[in-house]
Amino acid sequence: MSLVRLVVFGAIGLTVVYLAVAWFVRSTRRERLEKQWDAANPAGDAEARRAEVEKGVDEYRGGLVYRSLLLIYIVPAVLVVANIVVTNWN
Amino acid sequence: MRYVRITLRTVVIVVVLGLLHYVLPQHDVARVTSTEVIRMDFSSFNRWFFARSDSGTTELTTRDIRLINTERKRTLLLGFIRREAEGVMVYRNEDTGWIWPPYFKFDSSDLQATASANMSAPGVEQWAIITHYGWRNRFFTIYPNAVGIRPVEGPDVRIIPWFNIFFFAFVIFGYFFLRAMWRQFRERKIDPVLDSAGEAYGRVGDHASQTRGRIGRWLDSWRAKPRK
Repeated sequence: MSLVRLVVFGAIGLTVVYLAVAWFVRSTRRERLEKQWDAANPAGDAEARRAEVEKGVDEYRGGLVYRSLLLIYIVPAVLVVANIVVTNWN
Repeated sequence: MRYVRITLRTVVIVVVLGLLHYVLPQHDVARVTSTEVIRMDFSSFNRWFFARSDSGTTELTTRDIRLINTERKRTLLLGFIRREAEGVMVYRNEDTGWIWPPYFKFDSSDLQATASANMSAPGVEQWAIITHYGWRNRFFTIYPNAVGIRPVEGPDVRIIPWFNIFFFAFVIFGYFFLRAMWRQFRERKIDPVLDSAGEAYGRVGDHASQTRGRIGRWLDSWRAKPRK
């Protein structure tokens, strides 16, 4: 029963962390794309800028770095298993 | 107002440091002198400082507690300075199972056997490093929980607290990461909203000019400060 509770609350907590970090990396990437676009097209129109930036962010979402954010779930789970083995190994 | 803030801040810091001191692992250099089992009838207060019955069993209001009696080297400053003096220390030996604190300890019986196997006798001193968390308090009848016993050659061993080093490194990393995240959030999500809110206030009219001054200042306090 306490295992179920650990898994449920752990999943909730890690999901909060995952969503926050995912938003953060997307936001910094979007900001950088906007700045790059502004530097390249000083007098460009807003619609083209938005489309270009969104395309860049979508590409980033498909990339390896963004997918590796799943480590936020994997690393704690691995650490827990390692902890169980180390603590209880004879 | 200033004193209230200082007091609140101090209370929060003391509680957090106390919690960390209770939960993080510490290492004692000790000699096991005996082990025993006593029945513990918990009060509603000292129950807080005990973990749980063996992980495969059920929880009742009263149960047996394994204790490890030792003679240990005293220390100063959270164990950083070792002293020659010795004193008694009694550890409890309980499963933490899947509950807090997350030591995932299921092997209390084995640990009790390890303690017995490394028992010290007069003339045959057997030293061991006892990893534990928790506090000993005579008035509340609470004991630190032993999570590991490792026999060593003598009392002069060097102990490197790897877990605590990585833990605090991670806490510092987390602090700066959280701060960067908050700044990004404020710059991208709060500031744009405040800018449009500020424009809306400008349209309300002249009679609101005084209010605008106060609310505007408050709104400004949420704005991102210029980066250095």
